[in-house]
Amino acid sequence: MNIKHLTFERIVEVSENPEIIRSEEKLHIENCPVCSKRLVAAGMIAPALKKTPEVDHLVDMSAVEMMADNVFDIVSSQENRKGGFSKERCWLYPESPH
Amino acid sequence: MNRFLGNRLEKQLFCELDDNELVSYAINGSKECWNELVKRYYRMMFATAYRITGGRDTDDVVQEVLIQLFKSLGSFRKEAAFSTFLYRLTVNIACREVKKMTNLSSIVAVGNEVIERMLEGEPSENSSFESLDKDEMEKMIRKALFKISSDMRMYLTLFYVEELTLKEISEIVGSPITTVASRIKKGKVLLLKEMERMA
Repeated sequence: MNIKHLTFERIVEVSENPEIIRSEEKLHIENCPVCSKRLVAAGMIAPALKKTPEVDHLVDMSAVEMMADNVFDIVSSQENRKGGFSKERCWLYPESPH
Repeated sequence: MNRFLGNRLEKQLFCELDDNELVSYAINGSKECWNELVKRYYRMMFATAYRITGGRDTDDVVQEVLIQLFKSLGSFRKEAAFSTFLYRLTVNIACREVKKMTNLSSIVAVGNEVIERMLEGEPSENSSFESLDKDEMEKMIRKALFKISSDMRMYLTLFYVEELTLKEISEIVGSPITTVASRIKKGKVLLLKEMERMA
């Protein structure tokens, strides 16, 4: 058995496209517990990440509208205090006397 | 238009407007349309920020995203989807915040983990996660995701967790598709190496 392990890069490539594996690599993987496990792990990355738990339960939607209101009010007033709106920025206060 | 929206449109009608319409009305001063836009995308912003920051200060990051979004609504050209525009903003701000946090913790604590990694170097050729079963390995993969750099985590998160296409990610990060594909591959390599360190 060739003791030189496959590189991590090669393991990832082979896991994404098993058809590209060369015969000597295949032979090595079949006989090498380190590389075979690495290959299994590489193949599990996509499904494991897809199973990432949702974070919806951490979102407090009741506070979202208040936060949106605050951003609208505070940023608008900051922009107003700066003065000298460009024409493009006048949308914040369409009825202002600019 | 603003007055018309403020006085005439019932709340449920805002839900029927598409993103571009909401942006246009928000630009013209409609707070209701701005609020609807935020409500529509809040979960997406929060989830993306949470996954990039690893849950650290996510609320602050999202608030910063909202502020920057409000300030930059006028620069949204509607050539790309609004969701792409918002993803880009969220990802940029979340990555920036993670870098700030990382720099700060490095200065203050030098990070035990950093020292540990320096001592350990590359994972040993013979070390492996041979003894782990499938569930343990899946958990380890998700845990390792938060140990790699925020940039790499961002690519893996957008591709595998958010399930965006390479094209969508390339629009978000402003890089060619080939670069995105190679970053995802590099991210997977780093993830594997990290798992071996953790095992």
